[in-house]
Amino acid sequence: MDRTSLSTIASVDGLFCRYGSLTVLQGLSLDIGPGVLGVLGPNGAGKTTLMRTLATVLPVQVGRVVVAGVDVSERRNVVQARRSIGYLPQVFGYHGGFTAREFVEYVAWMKGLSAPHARVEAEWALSEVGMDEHGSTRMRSLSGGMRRRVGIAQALVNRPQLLLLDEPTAGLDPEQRITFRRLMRSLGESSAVVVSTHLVEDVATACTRVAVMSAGELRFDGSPDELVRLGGSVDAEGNSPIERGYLAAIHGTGR
Amino acid sequence: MIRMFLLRMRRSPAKWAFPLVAGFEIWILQELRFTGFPIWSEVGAALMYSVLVLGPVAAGLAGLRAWVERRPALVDLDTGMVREAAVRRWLATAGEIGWVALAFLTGVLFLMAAVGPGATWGEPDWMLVAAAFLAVWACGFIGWSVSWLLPSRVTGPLVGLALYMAMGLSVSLDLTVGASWIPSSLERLTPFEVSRPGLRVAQVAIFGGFILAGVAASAIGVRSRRAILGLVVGLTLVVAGLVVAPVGRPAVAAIDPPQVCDPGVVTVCYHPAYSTGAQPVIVAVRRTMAPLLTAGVVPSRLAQYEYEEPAGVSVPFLMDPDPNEASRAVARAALAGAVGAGVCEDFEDRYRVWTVVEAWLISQAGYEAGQLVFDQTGQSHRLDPFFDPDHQAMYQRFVAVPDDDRIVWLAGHFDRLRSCDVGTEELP
Repeated sequence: MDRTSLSTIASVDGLFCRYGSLTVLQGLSLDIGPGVLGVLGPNGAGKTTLMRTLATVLPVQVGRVVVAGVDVSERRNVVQARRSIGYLPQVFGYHGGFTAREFVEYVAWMKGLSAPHARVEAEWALSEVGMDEHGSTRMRSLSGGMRRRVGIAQALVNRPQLLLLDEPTAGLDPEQRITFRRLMRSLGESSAVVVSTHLVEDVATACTRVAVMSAGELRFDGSPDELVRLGGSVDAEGNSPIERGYLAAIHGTGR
Repeated sequence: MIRMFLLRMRRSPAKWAFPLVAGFEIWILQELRFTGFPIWSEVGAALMYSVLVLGPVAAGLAGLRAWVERRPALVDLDTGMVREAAVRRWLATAGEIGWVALAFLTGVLFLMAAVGPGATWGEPDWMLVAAAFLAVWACGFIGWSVSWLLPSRVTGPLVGLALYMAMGLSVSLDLTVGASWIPSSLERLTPFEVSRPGLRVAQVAIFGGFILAGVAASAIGVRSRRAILGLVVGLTLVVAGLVVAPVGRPAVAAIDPPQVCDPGVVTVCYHPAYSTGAQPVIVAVRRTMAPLLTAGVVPSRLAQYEYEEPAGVSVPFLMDPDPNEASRAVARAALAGAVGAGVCEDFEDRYRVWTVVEAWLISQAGYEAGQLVFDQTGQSHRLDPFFDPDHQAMYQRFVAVPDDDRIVWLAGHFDRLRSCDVGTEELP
């Protein structure tokens, strides 16, 4: 059955992924539409594997993944799909000697934009993340937060329909995280943003939808309010309502 | 593409090594200007020879870049891109090799500036220059692809070292056993040799093949079918080049090479490529040969050594930019009957006579007689041409003989002198 609908930008259907004898994704199915989807889960839940599969970095082993109407389960289609994808990996690799502007421009060119177009789009992407004033700073000289913003700029530069951000707030100080959440909300207004995180506050404040994963399975798929409701009473384990909902989803103890 | 290539070059750490590599290249080329004359044929050979150093440097730098690009974080970022993996990888490594290639081109400019104004014959062997340029890139891509497949901090430098040893061995084999399957690097050093175009094509195929295979090897696993095709085509080009190379083997003597002659009492003939700087040599060989011509024991024609002349028609001389050496070489050739012939050395007594005459021929012409040698620091000095005080005294006696008597003695003894048949008791 085709799970995609008109508002669906990407869909995952029955996705399995194994690394040797370890099964990381176990028949995962998920539709992704406009807005910000937060993917929550403990370490080893399979979040990064899901993100890398959606980014076409990993091939689809079993199941079907469609991005922007293109079935990327067929490897020959991935190049076409990549034009619609922006991806910030969990560990963001960059060329330290490049300036922020050069780096984003270079990535834009690698994403298939012509050199003059890449330059224009790099300026736009940097301004979107508030880094236009630091465009001439070398990547290695930027702070961790600024570097992450450049990472988002490189993901944005081809104006993707599907923007994948793998733990974008990891290692940031509280003020930087607040800025990031604002940025994610704004990005979600024009495209489908998938944010992998293990910080429930990110989800509570920035996401329009939450998917909770554990042991390669989808344990919850709904709005942040629904996750809060899943947490139930204040007597349950967890410091905040959404944390309680998250734990309930993980352990299957929700109402 | 060019903009991105320039960006990668501009931001490559290899740019800091550029002044060193370019300076080293110029130094090598200065050392490799074999004859000291401004001759085009030496340009291509010297540049190809300098690849022995630049190639391993390119391999090392490209290998280090491959190791950096192979870090998981960059691979993750790179893998999800739209442009061909081979193009991306080519660009990444070209930014490094580009600086070494630029150092090579600096060397080309240096040689053009050093040779061009004085060159009087022929033109640069551009195909050989192109082949050498490709060889730098080929070495870089070999370093890149090996390091990509076996990522490690040390892979690139080790590949560079291995290439240096392999190329050094190939040159050594080329010089010692004439391994004809090796595309020669030390070829066409003089304008008396001609290259056949087959070798140039073979060299371009070999180095171009290595480049293609190197790029393709690093793209295997991303777009495997195309990468494997590239690898197969690249290696096929390499093999085809190696097969074709012996067919086009150069270093054959040119048929009927051009000649210019400086007429006079002694006619001196030489290749027009040596016109710049030839005059001091002409003066030296004329002065040296004057007594023998007066004695009528040698032809009144001197011809540069590489010409195939029927014996006895002319005396061969070497075009050596140092007139002392030119004088010594022509004196020795006249007394021995051929350039480089070491006669009489088995007969010490007769060799003494021989060297006395040789030293006198050189000295009367106004040049230094001793053999030029270099010590370990590269400093040059001339050896004393005489073995001991007796030998020195023998020479002084010969110098003191009146000119006319000496000419008569030379005329009467020259043929036997050449045959090492004149003993010390016969020396006046």
